[in-house]
Amino acid sequence: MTELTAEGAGADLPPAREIEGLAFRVVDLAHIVMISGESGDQAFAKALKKAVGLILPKPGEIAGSDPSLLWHGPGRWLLLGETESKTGGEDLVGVLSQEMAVSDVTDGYLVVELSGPRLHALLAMGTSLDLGQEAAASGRSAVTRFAELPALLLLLEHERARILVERASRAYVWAWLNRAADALRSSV
Amino acid sequence: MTQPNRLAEGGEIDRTKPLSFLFEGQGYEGYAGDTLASALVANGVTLVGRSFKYHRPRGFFAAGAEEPNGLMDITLGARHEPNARATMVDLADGLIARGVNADPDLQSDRHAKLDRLSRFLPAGFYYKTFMRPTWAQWEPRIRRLAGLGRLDPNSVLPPHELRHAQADVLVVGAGPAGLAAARAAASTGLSVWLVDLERRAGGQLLWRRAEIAGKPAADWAESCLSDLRDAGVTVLLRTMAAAYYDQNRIALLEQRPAAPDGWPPERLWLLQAKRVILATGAQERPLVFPDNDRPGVMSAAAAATYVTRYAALPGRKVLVATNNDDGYESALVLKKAGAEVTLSDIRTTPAKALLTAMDAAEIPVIQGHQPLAVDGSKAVSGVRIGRTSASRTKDAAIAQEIDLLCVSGGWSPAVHLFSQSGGKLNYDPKIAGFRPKTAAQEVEIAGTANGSFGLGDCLREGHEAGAASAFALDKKVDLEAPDGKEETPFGGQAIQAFWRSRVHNARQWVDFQNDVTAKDVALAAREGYVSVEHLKRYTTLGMATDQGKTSNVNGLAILGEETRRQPGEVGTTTFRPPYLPLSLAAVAGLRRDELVATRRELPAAAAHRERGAAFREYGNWARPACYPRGEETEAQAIQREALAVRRQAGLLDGSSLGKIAVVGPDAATFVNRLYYNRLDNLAPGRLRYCLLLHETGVVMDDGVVARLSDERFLLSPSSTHTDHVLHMLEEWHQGEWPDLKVGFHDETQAWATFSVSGPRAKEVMGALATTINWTDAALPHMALADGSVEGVPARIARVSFTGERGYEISVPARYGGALWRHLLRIGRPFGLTPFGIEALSILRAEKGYILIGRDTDGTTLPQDLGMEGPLKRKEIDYVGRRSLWLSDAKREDRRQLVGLQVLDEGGPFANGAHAVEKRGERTASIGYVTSSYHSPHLGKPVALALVASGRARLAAEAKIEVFHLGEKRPARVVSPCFYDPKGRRLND
Repeated sequence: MTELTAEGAGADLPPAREIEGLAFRVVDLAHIVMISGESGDQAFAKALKKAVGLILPKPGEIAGSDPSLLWHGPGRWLLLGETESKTGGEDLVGVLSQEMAVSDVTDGYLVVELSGPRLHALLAMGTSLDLGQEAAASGRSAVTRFAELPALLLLLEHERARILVERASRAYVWAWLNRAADALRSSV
Repeated sequence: MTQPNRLAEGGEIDRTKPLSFLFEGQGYEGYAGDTLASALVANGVTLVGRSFKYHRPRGFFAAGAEEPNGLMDITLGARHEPNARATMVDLADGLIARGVNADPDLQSDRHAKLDRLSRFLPAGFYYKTFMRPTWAQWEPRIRRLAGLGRLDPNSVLPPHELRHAQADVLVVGAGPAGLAAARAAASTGLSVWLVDLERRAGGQLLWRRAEIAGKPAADWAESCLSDLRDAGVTVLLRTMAAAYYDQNRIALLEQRPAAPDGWPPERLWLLQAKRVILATGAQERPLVFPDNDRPGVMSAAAAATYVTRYAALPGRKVLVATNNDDGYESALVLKKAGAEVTLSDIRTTPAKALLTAMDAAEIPVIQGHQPLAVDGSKAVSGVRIGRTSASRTKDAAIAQEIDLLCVSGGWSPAVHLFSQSGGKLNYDPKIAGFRPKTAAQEVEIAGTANGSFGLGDCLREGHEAGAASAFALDKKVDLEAPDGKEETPFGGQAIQAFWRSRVHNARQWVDFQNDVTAKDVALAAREGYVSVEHLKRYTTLGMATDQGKTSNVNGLAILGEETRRQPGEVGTTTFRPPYLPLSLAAVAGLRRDELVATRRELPAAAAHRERGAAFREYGNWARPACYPRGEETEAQAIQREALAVRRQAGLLDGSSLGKIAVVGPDAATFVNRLYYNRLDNLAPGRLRYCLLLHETGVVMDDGVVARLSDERFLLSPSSTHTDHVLHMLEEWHQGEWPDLKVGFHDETQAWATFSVSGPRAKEVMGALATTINWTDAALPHMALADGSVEGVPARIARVSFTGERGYEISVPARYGGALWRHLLRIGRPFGLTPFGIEALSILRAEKGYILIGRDTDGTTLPQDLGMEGPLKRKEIDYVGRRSLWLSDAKREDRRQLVGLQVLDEGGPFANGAHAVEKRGERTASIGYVTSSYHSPHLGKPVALALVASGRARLAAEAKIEVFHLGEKRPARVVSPCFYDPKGRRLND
């Protein structure tokens, strides 16, 4: 058997532009799991609580931190696991799939973490979302568009956010971020 | 260097900072704080442009955004702008400006002779004259004469920044009304934005003689702005509200002259405001009389602005011609600056207070008179005036030597943004102009933009608009409106509408920028263009970069006179965004060069590049078209790859193919209702080729559907249709069948998928370490199984897009590159060849496998493709079913999929070439070629086509003709499957 080398979604991307007040980097999450169910289904909610200890969040909410759960669409949620250990290792998808409809979509996304005082200026270049209001309540998420792409935006803290975009557009979105950072550097 | 028209004192200019610039090759000097226009005025330059159609000499008419004549080609360092309004350009050291639409220069424009032919070039001349033999033949010559500035192809602007923003209240315009509105709204703590086109706030306060709250008006504007900034108001000066879109979304173009070198000088904001207050001011109209377009005929308010703001006196011997009170204010400003001023008033009985003020300033007033002729060509040298009722130039009773003719034809509220927002206008005879009537969005309009010209009214209306906006957002304003007082309370009232002089034998200009005269408007009316929209298009009145800022009201009022209608009955044309032209670079923002469109890359893109893949875009996926080797051309590579698959084995990256999991207890019911083919009886672990239809029955997509378990299906839509199919699933679930317990997971990009196909595919699979039993017994054609490959999670499906035995291997995307390289390594002994989309296209066409959108069009039904099974046998209702039973769907002569055999030696048919037949004397199209290739395996061309009555022609082995570029070639209608019709190769 030949060992196949894994290439994360951030593999071979050029360096992130370094500008004052903004940093961004690729984050490799251990798990991204899509879950479907009925929000009013008690058995589903109970099974989820049992499996990952979380209550189903409403649109815009983020439940938990590691793993965290967020609304992705009607009857659909996304579970984000930071580390293997906390989410029960490789078995997470297996455990969940015994109780509910899940898909392991870990490899389907590029996850970028952005931070710094100029975070909101950069986000405002990519999305028409009202970040002023969203920032007032950090710990919020949004299914939106960013840099012309469908995206999930997680406002974790006032100056820290994550963006999930489709993996296939990783080179595009990375080039976009670097160019946006260039433009931001010239901003007064 | 001297600046002959520069005043010794006053203005916003900094006399300690001289700036040198070039205009038409001549060196001049101005000061920091000048605009290019004010510096030229200060230098006594009168000829600044040539008109669009007749190349007539033109001077500045205005001092701001409404300037129709002073368009210039500007170069400053690396920056080049072809049609800059000189009135909006900050003067800078080293700036190089030249006029546009002149050859070789403004002074000696060789096209100026066109003006002498003007009587032969009325409105509609070009439309009527250059129809024969064809417009195309004349166009290049006419284009050389027309058009304004030229883009410099070597000038490249850096990527621009576009930002989204939100505000509670946006105030557009920082004149008295705008400042009062922002002050009121901001006092409640709301988030307020205040934007103004000018670099200084104040609007009319910057040139009118008035007091507010006990301070000179301009000082009050400064302190008010400072207070607003302190209160957290976002103030953007030099910012144009360019467009007003639905849902109170406004595009703002911010000029950033202080941006560092090499960075974009503009930034576009898309601002969404809960409430918008438009305090956009008003624009002074010209008076329409013979030769009113001569350089030196200027808006009276503009002349006063040049004096007050820039200490530039446009003329020393001045006649002010007016039909309203406001001309008197300008006359006073000019007189105070040292000019010799006379005023002629169209009205016979102006208010006594005006006459008293003029008397005190020693300005003679000629009542009941109008200009009847202007002397001078490149500069005004004199004016002849006569009674308002005069209808001949020779009726002029008074002749005066002048070097500046100031005109005030009344004020037009700047309602452009209000109109863009969907608001309706109303003609108000009291102001002889159009003012806002009903709003369509959450918008207030205040001050002169609302047709309220007195300073007190502007301040009060602005304040009330601010308070009303705050109230709508549950806030209460406790402030009082600022108290303002004009030195002489004129305020632009008491206008006597005067749309044109009655002199009929001379040209009177209505639209300076588009060279439209009162005669042109009358001609249009005579020829039946009585709708204002038709007038616009026939004469070009109010078109293009100008959008009729100074011309629209006069033009439509003249049309009203010609057609015996009031201006209100004529109505206005539609004001279109942008308010002023803006660069495409600003609109594009970051979306240019490699970011001009989103693009998707395959997980193994780097590995493909290592193999020399030639990438092309299919949908928005960048995929290898082929893998040329050495000196090989792409065409040769495609043929080699297709042959390799038929003879040995090929490897295709199919990762972009959709992978949508349909999950839940009702998954089977859902997919069975959605797809044309029956799916409830598909066994777990099995695949079925299916069609997805629109409600019209037209084929929307095809693909393989897999059943993974009782409650889980995996759809594989075409690469370019996946997003659309996902939306369709959601739409039908949420809209029609919300009771079904089912969910949709797009797993497409989580997996890399490679297809090994060909007679030696089995041998390649033999070299792969996998836990999956892929023997024919365990994994027959159209089956799949999960397990691992080379130690990573994997799925193997027996499916074929080439007609050969095929294995589709999927692994998590992170292993895509590694597995691709590994497969090529282990496949080398068996001749495994990477092949791209172009070779696949040949292989599938040989088999008659269709590509949706290529071999189908917007009319193709399943039965047109020969897939009638489900139509006859599937009993439950499914999407598109009813449409398949309409009489049109049963027509015998529908276009049906067939193959075409080439009967001559001419090689493959052209894609899209028409199949034709003789019908009497006529040759009629009976369909067209959809896919056509040279088949390297068969050694001959193959073609698929949609042909009327295709199956009947097939049964008759009919001969038809294929027509392309004047040539007809013979073909025989044959089966669309050219290769292995029994499908034995799938299992060989």
